[in-house]
Amino acid sequence: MTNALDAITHSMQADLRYLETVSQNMANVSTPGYKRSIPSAQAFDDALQAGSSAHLPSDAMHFFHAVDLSPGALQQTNRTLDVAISGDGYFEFSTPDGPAYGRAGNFQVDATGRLVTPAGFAVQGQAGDIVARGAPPLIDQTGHVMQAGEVIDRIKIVRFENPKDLVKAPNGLLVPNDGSTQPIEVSPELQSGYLEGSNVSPMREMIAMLETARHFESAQKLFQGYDDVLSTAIRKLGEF
Amino acid sequence: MNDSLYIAATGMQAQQTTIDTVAANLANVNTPGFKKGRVSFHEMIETGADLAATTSALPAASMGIAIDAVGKDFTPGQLQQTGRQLDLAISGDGFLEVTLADGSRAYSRGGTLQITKDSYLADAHGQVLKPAIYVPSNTQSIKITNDGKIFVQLPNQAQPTEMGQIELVQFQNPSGLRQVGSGTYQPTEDSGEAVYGKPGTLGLGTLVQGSIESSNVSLVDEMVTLMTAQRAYELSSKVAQTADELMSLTNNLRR
Repeated sequence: MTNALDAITHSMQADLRYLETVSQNMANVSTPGYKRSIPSAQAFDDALQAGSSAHLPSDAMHFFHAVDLSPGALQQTNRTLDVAISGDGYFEFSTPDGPAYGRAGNFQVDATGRLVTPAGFAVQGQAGDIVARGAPPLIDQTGHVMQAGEVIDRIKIVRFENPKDLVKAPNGLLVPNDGSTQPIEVSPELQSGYLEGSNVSPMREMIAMLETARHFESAQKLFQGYDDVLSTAIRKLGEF
Repeated sequence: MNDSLYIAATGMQAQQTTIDTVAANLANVNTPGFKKGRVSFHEMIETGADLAATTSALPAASMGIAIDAVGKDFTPGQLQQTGRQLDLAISGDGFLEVTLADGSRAYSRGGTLQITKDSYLADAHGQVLKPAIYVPSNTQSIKITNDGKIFVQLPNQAQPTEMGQIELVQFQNPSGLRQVGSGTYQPTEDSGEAVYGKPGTLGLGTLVQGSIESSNVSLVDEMVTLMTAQRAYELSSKVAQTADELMSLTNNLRR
């Protein structure tokens, strides 16, 4: 008896989590450099077995998000400090929690002259932070940062042996999950004046959303049917 | 309760801000010296404190989309020749320093200059240029050279007289400037300190007399942004509707 209810509850919880992921993807459909979250959960049977002993069904289910690292389309912005990477590779940023990575190339210069992201994290070059005091800097196709005709530094771009290890960190950045995958430096071509867009496909998210909503509705009907069965049983048996 | 609803709400809010910025830009597509607004976003994720303890990657909680900043894009606009001697534009980077009515310093990109009743050179709003350039009332013509020297031609003089030298000002991060009036900006801690220099030196632009800088708004870019923002808003609203539907289904579990 409890198993049926458990199964329905698990199903509905999974649907809600799925919708959350779809919602996150849809909200970020035009965020530069955004990578789609792919929701996945462990096998339903396993969760059910574990769930019958857990206090709350949701504790037992392990949801994990894979990140879809396929590149987004390039948008031309004609802004001198917008850069996009052609091919594989990630920019490295310095954050208070260590190095983080991303593909969003909408950089700007802060008050001290450092090349930073809009959130304020410093873009890493071959020699650490890139500081361009004075005239506005330019970034060329090989990643060299030029100021008044002279090369100040070169933007550091890395790739990972095992990209599946990357997870999402705050502020739209990616970090390696447990440090098992090491970054390797590469030198791809950069496009100046272009920005990589989000890799979300609205159509795919829309279909996932419809599927989830109907699945949830089915679970609801199951629940109501089960409720009816219980109600009938109580009445009939109570007539004795 | 239902996180999807709140995430969708952040999505709609973000697109609303984008559309507001586009509207302001389109309204000023012909305003001389106008600098277009630019919104930047990033994804919001909240990481739990116990994230490090888990080996299977329990996800950080998705929170939607956040707005980084609504800043101004200081890409120079195109110069239009007008031929009027009091029209001054800066070709390249840099700002002119002006003095506001309350005595504080502000910066502008030029425009149509005027001569105040005290005979000083001022910008279109009557804010006097710094250093103050005195223009005698019997001046026949004014010439401003590319490197900022101002000459006036007085009657009964064979050669024009030099009345002063304008310096241009540069900021580390112009997007951090705060707008205080139409085309007038003041520095903030995000923009950095003002760095002075002669026009044409240190990466500063040159002065061009007889030209006006037009708005740097690109009609095509703004229209495309408007269309995508509208559709993105619609997408998030569909998610909000679905979340609402699911909540309604949940409420009707027990008939």
